[in-house]
Order: sequence, then structure tokens, then C-alpha cells
Amino acid sequence: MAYLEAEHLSKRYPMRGSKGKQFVQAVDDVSFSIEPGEVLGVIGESGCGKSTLGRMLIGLEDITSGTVTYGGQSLTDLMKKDRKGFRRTAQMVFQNPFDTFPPGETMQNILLRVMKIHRIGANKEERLRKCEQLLEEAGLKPAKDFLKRYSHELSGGQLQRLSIVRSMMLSPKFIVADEPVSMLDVSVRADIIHMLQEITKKNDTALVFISHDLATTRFISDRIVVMYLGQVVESGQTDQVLHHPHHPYTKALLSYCANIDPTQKKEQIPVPGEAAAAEGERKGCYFAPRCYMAEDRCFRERPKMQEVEPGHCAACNLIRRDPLAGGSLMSQ
Amino acid sequence: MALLEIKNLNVTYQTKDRKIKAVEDVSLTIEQGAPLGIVGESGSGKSTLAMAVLRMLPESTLVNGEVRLKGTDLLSLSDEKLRALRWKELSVVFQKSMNLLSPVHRIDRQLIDMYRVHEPKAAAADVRKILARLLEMVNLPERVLKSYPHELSGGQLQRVSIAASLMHNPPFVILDEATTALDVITQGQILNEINALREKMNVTWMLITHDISVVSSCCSCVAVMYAGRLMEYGTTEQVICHPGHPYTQGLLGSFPTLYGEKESLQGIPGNMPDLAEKPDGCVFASRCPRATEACRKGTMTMTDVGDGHLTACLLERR
Amino acid sequence: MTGIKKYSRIFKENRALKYGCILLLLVVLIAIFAPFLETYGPKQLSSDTLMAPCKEHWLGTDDLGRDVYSMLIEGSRVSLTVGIIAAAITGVIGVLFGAIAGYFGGAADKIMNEVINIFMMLPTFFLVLIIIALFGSSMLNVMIVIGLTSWPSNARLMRAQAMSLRERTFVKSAEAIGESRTAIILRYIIPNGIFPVIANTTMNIGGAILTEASLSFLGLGDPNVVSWGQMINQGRGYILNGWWVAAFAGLAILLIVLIFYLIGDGITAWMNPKTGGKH
Repeated sequence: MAYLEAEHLSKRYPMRGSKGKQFVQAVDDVSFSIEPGEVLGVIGESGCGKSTLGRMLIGLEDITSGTVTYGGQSLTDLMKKDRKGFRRTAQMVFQNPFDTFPPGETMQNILLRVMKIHRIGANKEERLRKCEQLLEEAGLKPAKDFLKRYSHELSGGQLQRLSIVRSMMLSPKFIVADEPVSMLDVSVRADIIHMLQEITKKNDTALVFISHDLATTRFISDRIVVMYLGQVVESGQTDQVLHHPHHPYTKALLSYCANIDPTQKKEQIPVPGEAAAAEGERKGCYFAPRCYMAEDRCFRERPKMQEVEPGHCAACNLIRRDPLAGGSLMSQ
Repeated sequence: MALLEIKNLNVTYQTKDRKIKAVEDVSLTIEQGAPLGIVGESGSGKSTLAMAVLRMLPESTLVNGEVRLKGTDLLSLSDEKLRALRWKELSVVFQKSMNLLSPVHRIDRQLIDMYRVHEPKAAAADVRKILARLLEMVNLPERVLKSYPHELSGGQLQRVSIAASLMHNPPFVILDEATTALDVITQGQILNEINALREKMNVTWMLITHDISVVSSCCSCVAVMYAGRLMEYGTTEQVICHPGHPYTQGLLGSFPTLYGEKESLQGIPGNMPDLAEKPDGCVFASRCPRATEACRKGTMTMTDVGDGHLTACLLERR
Repeated sequence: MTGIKKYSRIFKENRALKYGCILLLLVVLIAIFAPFLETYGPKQLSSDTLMAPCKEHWLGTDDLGRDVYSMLIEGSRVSLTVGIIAAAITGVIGVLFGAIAGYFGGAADKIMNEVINIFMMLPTFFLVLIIIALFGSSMLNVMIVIGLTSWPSNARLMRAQAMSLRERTFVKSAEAIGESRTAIILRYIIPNGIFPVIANTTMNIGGAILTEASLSFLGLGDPNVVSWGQMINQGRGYILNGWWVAAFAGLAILLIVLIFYLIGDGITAWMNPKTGGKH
């Protein structure tokens, strides 16, 4: 049974200066579910609502409509009943490790504080021992040395490790990682990815991995959802989606995806214009104005999610008639 | 004659009690028509190198070595001559060059003012024509000229900056992380435009980035930097397909790809050394899987491993 | 770098802060050791009325024959106490009010911001006058009234700080880790946003001293204590034949307000990374 279920989640922000009449639709009717121990990648460009979605899942952002349930219990009930207890269930790893810890506090104080809030460990000595043990396990050796430092004295990779260690102290069942490696140097990204992978497998923790980078997401995710302007346009097993995409947007995104081999040239799918901010009521498919195969009906009819293969869905009106269908993108 | 020649460039930032060697003994040449990509992680000195070439470092910084643009030594040039040279002979696009535009004036007015720095007598109508042609090359409609900066998206503003850098048709332009903050699709499109401009405008880029894929798509040569040092230099194919330095190999190994084995993703353990207290020998030795005792003692120099492919790895020296 | 070294460098580079602190230390010492420095009792009357500065009375005497120098020394106690306590009240109220409004945002912020605006628009000095007239003019009343009427500038500063800190990752992550809202305000928002408020509060001390002096000048100060404002009030009538009564008290007020402005300015410069600050 699914551990976390999101149903018809939406988030609307009132637009500035409109006195609450106009809205920006950041997240628009998003549904998905995650099993324990599963990693779900959420992919999208800036402004597609992926971060808002992540924050809504763990109650850091109010939900405009729709529901989130954890093991059958609704998020709103859980938060109302025991806010602190819920924080032990659901944790978050943030994008900017340099700003995740309060300046002017040592790591020791920061980590001990978390244990104190949640009453982990009987006394200070025991907590300190646990801190050291967790840091050593995370490869931050010698732990005593790291505990004495302030956040500005540590590198991005070390800080992100500490951020993960801090979240894992509470042994959560669910973690949202919002672009956890995008601000790190390439050479340390892999280690953070491996660390996240390891802890999810070891503790059977479900993870939502939010990223704009398809290649990085591929390495950690079991399943992927692709978002465009607040909506899910495609979802499925990672390699099914990335190697056999069905939605034109996913295809376009993949055709621009970074490739380091200078001898291979990929054909890029033209995507004219810019992603218009999601304001007010919209009709039809949101991607239609930029789509290479849009027809009249795409501007009128909102496409529905349809299953193209078992477990692989895409929201496109013309899914069966795509000139680029199948594996034509796959030069390899 | 090479377009740009950097010889034994050293840049040291001085603070009250520390001397940070941000760039150490870097020599590079860029030939006309052969764009160079400089790749490095944060702290590698790649942006400092660009700033040294542009002579935009703070006064207190120690810079020595030679930087010759078409034979003229930029480092010893008088301020006045340098000003005359900037934008005519070399210009720059930054990561957040949208900030160079004032929010309260229309784009055309600002660009015309910029143009007139070097051509004070140019008629507005003529400049507008030149600008429209430049904008067309970066796929922007002419009406962009009539808008205010806040009406444009990040990608459009970055395109405006690229067009602005080319208004006097300079032979050499530095792109310092110019596509970094942009979305995947926008970045891909701008890189295509950059490639096209190279032929249309006969301009040569020095492209500074942390992203190897950017270099691989639009540079013919690559220089890899680490902790202020040049680690490897060669054509894009030489460096990316046959990396000679363990650091470059590590960097390539930590770059995730869309295809290939998922187990292959490997980071480089450890951290960059403190630039104020660099160790003896190779700067990468402390993180290098192949480092020997000799690596921790020797002096770093570039070794040619064939066809102009240079590496700073001490193990390659025989 | 050790703490002492760091601070000695701050003082070396920041002249306003350095001289401000040295002068303040001097004034504080004078206030503490006032009884030993006074040559006569500050309230001791004598028959030598309106004597010009001379050997016996360094700064002359007033119309009741009291020694101006001794009154001046005694007055420093009143000025410092009133200034510091009143400013502390503005600091505490301003910080709490601003932090709560800025952190919570939304409707709470709207209401609280209006309250701040109303207090800012009120003619503070007249409010003080009315309250003193109604409740009497003891030192305590004066301090509380000044404190209660001049907090809005602090609240505004703190609110702006809280609004930007609210969006910082470390505050979001504190929320995610399970900190209560009260803890977030007290442990994360206030310590990281209080610096500009401290600078402003220091300047407020100067303002509070001036207000107290103005009240005393109008005869609304505490009649049981000697204060500089009162001295000016008394000296007003003899400005032509006894200028020293009012002049030295005026200079003292000028000096103390200047000291607190120097310190406030120094703190502001220290915080600002552009002018060689703390980072």
C-alpha cells in the first residue's frame, strides 16, 4: 500500500495588487503516491511549482485544495493533533546548504537542539555521543572537530551532509529533498546522491527528490513525474520516462539535456517562447503554445492523463499521433 | 599571432592577514576562431582569471604575468587606453548581467547610451538599426528595445546582454557563467545562438563555466582549473574523451548522464586545499587516487602528452 | 582570530564607535562616582547666588546658590538612567512587536503594522505631556512614558528584518525540524535581526535624554531630582546675568546625545559589509 498519497493538490497565490481577485496557480491538480522506501523524482523548470509542491507535502505551505495522506491519515489532522510528532515523520533537505543552519551557532548546538526538542537521549552526554556517532557514519571525521565548527567554516558538501544527518536524527518515514545538489560542486554531488540513496534503502524511507536536472534525478529515482506550469505532464518508471518519453514537453526537455560527449550531437526540438506564468483561468493544454505538434483542439481541450504503458502516463491529446513517437530520439 | 595570450599569470588576493593565491602560474593561448572553455569548481580561480584579463580586480590584488590581446599587454596599459579598448576589442557577459540594466529606463535608451560611450556622434536611428540586427541574431524581436527590463524573462535579458556585448563587433568576448542560472531549454537555445554568432560575427569566446556539458557543446578547446592551477588543456575531444589528468577524470566521472550505468556515478572524495596555505607538490594530490610520494613533493608544470594536449599531472612526466 | 583581537580591530577601524565608547565610559564613571566628584551637595543652598565661575565654584552657582558643577555631575545620573531605561523599554517592545508582525505576516501583520503607523503618527511629545500631567512626574513615570511612546521605529526595523529572515533557509529548516513558533522568533529571528535595532536603540537613548530634558525644561520633570533640563529651565531667567547656569547644562546634553549618536553610527557602520563591517 502506498505510504504517502497526494490527491488533486492545488496551490494558488493571490497576485500582488489584485486585492485577491487574481491568482497565480503554482500547483494545479497534482496527484501521485509513494511507497515506503521509494524515491520519486519531480522534474521541472523554474516556476513549474515543484518546490511549492514539496513544501506542501510536509506542511510547510498551506494547501489551497486537495489532500495529502500519510499511511491513511490526512496531513491536516496529523498537524493539528501533534505538530512536533509529525515533524518526526516528515523531513526536508533544502537547496542552499550554506543557509540551512543559523549563523553564529556551532554544529554541536544545532544538532543537540534538535534532539532536545524531540527528547532524544536522556542527557547531554548521551546526545553528544549520538551526534558523534551519526557524524562518523556520515563520513564527517573526526566528528569532534566538525561539531565545534560554524556553518561558514564548512564546505557546501559537508553542510549538506550535516543537513541530511540532522533530518535523519528524527528517523523520518518521508523526506523531501528540494534541489539538494544544485548548489554543490559537481565532484561532491555524487556523494550526496549516494548518501540519500543509502539512507532511504536502509530505513525504508520514502523520498521525493525535486530537481531541474534530468540526468541527476535519473541516478536516484525509481519513478519520475515531470511538471510543467503546475501540472504533471508525464509520470512513470524513471528509465521508461527518460528513454521513451511520450509527452512533447518531456521530449523537448530531454533534447536539451546536457551531454558531455562532444562527438555526439543531439537533434534539439524547437520550443519557441517562454513558459507563461500560470495566471487566472486557462484553457486547453498549457504547453500547446510552445508545442511542435499542437492542433486546434490542444488550445481548447484540457488533456487527461492516459496510461501509455503499464505505470507510464502522459497528459497529451495527441499522444498516439506524435511524429517523434517511439524511440526516434534515442540515437544510442 | 594568437588572439589572447596569457603567460605565467599569478593573482593573489590580499586580506589583512592572509594571502590567497587565487590564480597561480597559468599560461594559455586562444587562437582566433577557436573558442576556449575554462572549467572548474568553485574556488578554482576561473572567474578570477577572467577578471584579471578584464583588469576588473580590486586595487589591492597582486597581479603579475602577461596578458596580451592581439599583442597589446593589457596589464601594463594605461587606464585611458584600456577604456578605449574595452567593448571595442574585448567585452564580457556575466551570469547576472541583467543587473547591468537600470530598471527605470527602456532597453533601447540604455543600449544607445552604451553604444555612444565609444561612438559619441552616432545617430540614434543608426544605432537602433545595429541593435535590431544584433537582437535578431539572438532570436529576440525588435520590440524588446521598447520594453523595460522587468518585462523580460531571465533568458531574454541574458540575450540582451549578449547582444550588448557585441555592439562594437569585438573579436574577443568573455562569457562568465553566462548561461548558469537559466532553465535547461533556455540554456540550450542560448548556446545554439552563441555557436551561430561565432560564425556570423567572427567572434571568439572565452567561456567560463562549472558545467562541462556547456563547454563540450560550444568550445573547441578546454582548460580545466583546480585550486588556482591549470590542470589540463587541449581540444575538447582530447580533454573530454581522453582525459589525461586524474582530476579531469574524476570530474567527468561525477557528471551524471542520461544513459549508461547508474553505478558509474562517482564523486571525488575530500576537499579543495586552503588557497592561502597550499601544500607542496600537486594541489590535487590530497584527493587523487593515484598520488604517489613524488606527487606531494614535485613542482607542477605542464607536460605535453601529444598534439598539444597538456596535463599538469606529475605522473605523466617521464 | 581570538575574540579580543577581533574586537580591538573593530575599534581601531571604527573611529565613531571608538570615541563614542571611550566618552560613554567616562560619563558612566562620572555618574557612578558622582558623590566623590561633587565639591558641594548638589542640592545644598548657599548665600552665594549667581556667582560667576571662580575658584570656589568652578562653574559658578545658580539663583539659589547651588554649585553648578556639582549639579551637573549629579544630573548625569538622571540623564543616563532615564535614557538607558527608556530606550531599553523601546527596544524590548519594538523587537517583540516587530518580530511577531514580520514573522507571522498576513492579517496579524496588517493589524500590527497599522498600530505601528498610528504610534508613528501620534505627536509623541504631546502624548508624553498629557500622560505626565495626568499621572504625575516621577522619574519612573517619565521613563515609562518615553519608552511606551517611542518604540515604533524599532518595531519597523525589526519587522523588516523578520520579513526577510522568514524567507531564509535556516528559518524554514528550523520550522521543518519541529521548532515551535515562539522558539523560532526567540532563537532564530531575533538574534539574527537585532543588530540594526541595537544601533537604533543606542540613538534612541540620545532621543530619550532629550525628551526628558525637554520635559524638565517645561517644568514637568521630577522635581525631586537634579536634571540638566531643569537646570536650563532655571537658568533661562538669568541668561543675561548668569549664563553659566543654563549653558553648561546645555553643553552636557549636547555631549551626551552626541556620544550615543556616535556609538549608534559606529554600530551601523560595523554591521554594514560595504563599509568594512562584520563579515
